[in-house]
Amino acid sequence: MAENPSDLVVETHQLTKIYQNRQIALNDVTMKLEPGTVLGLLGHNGAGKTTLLRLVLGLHCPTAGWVKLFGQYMTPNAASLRCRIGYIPTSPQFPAGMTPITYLDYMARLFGLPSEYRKPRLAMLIRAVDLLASSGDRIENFSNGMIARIAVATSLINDPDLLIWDEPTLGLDPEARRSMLDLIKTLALDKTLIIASHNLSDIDEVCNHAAVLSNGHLIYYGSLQDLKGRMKRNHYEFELEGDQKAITRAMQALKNMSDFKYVNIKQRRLEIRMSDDANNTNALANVFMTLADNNVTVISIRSVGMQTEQAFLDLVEEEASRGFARAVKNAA
Amino acid sequence: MNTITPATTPRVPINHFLPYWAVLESDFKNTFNSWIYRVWVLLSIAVAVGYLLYRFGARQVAGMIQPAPETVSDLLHWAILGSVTLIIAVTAGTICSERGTMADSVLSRGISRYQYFLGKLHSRLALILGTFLFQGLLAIGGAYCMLHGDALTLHGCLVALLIVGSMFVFVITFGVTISAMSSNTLVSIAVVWITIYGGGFLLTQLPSSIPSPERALLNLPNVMRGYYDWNDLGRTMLISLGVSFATALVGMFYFSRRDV
Repeated sequence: MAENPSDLVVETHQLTKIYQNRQIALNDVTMKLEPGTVLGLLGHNGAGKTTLLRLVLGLHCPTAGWVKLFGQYMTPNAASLRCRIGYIPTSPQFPAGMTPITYLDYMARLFGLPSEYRKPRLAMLIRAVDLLASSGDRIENFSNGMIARIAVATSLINDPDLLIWDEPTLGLDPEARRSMLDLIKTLALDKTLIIASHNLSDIDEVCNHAAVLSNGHLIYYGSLQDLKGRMKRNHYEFELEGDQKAITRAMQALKNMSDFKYVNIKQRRLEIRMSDDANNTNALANVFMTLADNNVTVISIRSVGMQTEQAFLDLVEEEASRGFARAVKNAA
Repeated sequence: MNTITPATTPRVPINHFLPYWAVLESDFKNTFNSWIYRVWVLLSIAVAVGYLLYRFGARQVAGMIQPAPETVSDLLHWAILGSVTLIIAVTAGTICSERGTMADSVLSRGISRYQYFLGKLHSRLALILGTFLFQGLLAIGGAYCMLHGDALTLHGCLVALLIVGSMFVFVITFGVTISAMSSNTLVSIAVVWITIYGGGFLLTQLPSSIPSPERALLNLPNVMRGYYDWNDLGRTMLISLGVSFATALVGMFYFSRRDV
C-alpha cells in the first residue's frame, strides 16, 4: 500500500461528470491506483469508462470531485502531468498525409522532447512495433493492426509512467491481439496501466485489478482475484465415458436431487446448474458419487463461463437488483 | 511486435516551447494544403489579375484612366468584403473541427490548452496575413506598372496594407476564438459571419467620429497617395489590434476550461 498520497499514480475523489445538465456520465467515483497496478476498466457501452479516462487525462473537467495524478491535481493545462502519461484512444485517428516517422516526431514534439532524444527514440519504437518497412508510407493506407501498432508506439514515445489504453485490442486479428497482450504484460513490469476493454478474457489475462462501472457508478474496485471470488460458481460441464444407459441412469438420479436446478446430457457431455442455495462442494461430491455408482468415468470437468465475465455479469446483475437501495451507501 | 525495452532511460529535459511550435507548424502546413485556402488564394489572384487587366484594357482601348490608388483601393475594398467570407471559413473551424479523437490525440500529450490555442491562432494569422500581404504587394506592383502609378507612394501603400491587415487580424482572431468556444463548425462559421458583417454594417451607421472599417476603406486612395493622418490611422489600427487581443484572451481562457 502507498503510505504517502503522493506515491499514488491516480487518485480520484467523488468524481462526477454531468454533461450540460442532461446526462450523468459519471457519479461519485473514488479510487486510488498504486504504482505497478494493471487496472482493467470494465463496463457496458455508455457505462462511463471513456468519460473516466478523459477526466483522468484532463480532456474533460469534472462537474464535482477531483482527479490527482502523481499527487498533483489534473487540469486541462497540466501539461507536465500529461508528459508522464501514454494514451491510446478508442479507434485512434491520424492527420492525413503523415507517415509513422512524421507522426511520431510530431507527437514527441508535443511532449517537448528535444531532437537528440526523440529521433533515436522514435526509430527504436518503429523498429519495436515492426513498422520499419512501412515507416515512410502514409498512415491513412494502413490496416487496423498497423494503426494499433502506431498507436502503441505513440503512447510510449515519452517513456510514460502511466499508460491509459482505451480498447487496445479492438479490431485486431488474433495474432496482433496476442502481441498486444504480451506487450501489456512486458510493460506491466515497470509501469502502471489502465486498460479499458469489453473483452473480458483480455482483462482476465493481463490485469491484476479491476474497476467495474455501471451507468456511471463504480460498483466494484479492487483486485481481480477478489472480483472472481464474488462469482457464484454454479454451472459445470462434465465430459463422460461409459455405457450410454449408465449415463442416462446417472442423469436421472441427479435430476431427482434438490441440489440441481438444471441437468442435461448431450453426446456424453453432462451439464449441470446448481440451485442458488446449494453448497457447491457437497453438490459436486454427490455428482461424483452418482457417476461412480453407475460406473461412469469422468474425462474432464470445467466451470462454464469465463470467470471474470461471470463475475462481471453477477456484479452488474446484483447492482441492478438493488433498486432504490442504491441511494443508501451501506445498503449492500 | 518485438519486445519493447523497459523505461531505463533517464528523464530528459523538456523544451516547453516545442509543443506550441509543433502545433503551429502542423496547422500551418495543413491549412496551406487545404482546399478552402487554395480556393481563397486562387479566387483572390484571379480577381486581382482580371480587374487589373480590365483597367489596363480600358485605358489602352478606350482611354478610360483610373489612377492606380483608386484601382488598388477598389481591389483592397473587395478583398475585404469578398475574402472575409472565405477567411471566416478558413478560421472558424480551426479548433472545433478537430474535436473528438483527433483533438484527443494532441491534447492528451504534453501540451497545455493555452499553447494549443496560441499555436493554432498564430499559424492562421501568419498564413493568412502573409498571403494577403504577398497578394497586396503584387497588386500594388501590378497597378504601378500597368496603370497610372505616379500617384502611388510607397509609404502610403504600406500603410494601406497595414490598415487592411489589422482588420484581417480581428477577423482571424474572432474566427479562431469562436471555433474554440463552439462545438460545431457550421454554427461557428454562421456566428462569425453574422457578427463580422453585421458589426461592420452597424459601425457604418454610427457617427463619423467613431472609426469603422467602411470609412477606413473609403479613405484608402488618399492614404496610398500619402495623404493621411497617422494619429487617426494609428488609433484605428490600435483599436482593431486591441479588440483582437481581448477577443483572443477570452477565447483562450474559455478554451482552457472547457471539455474537448
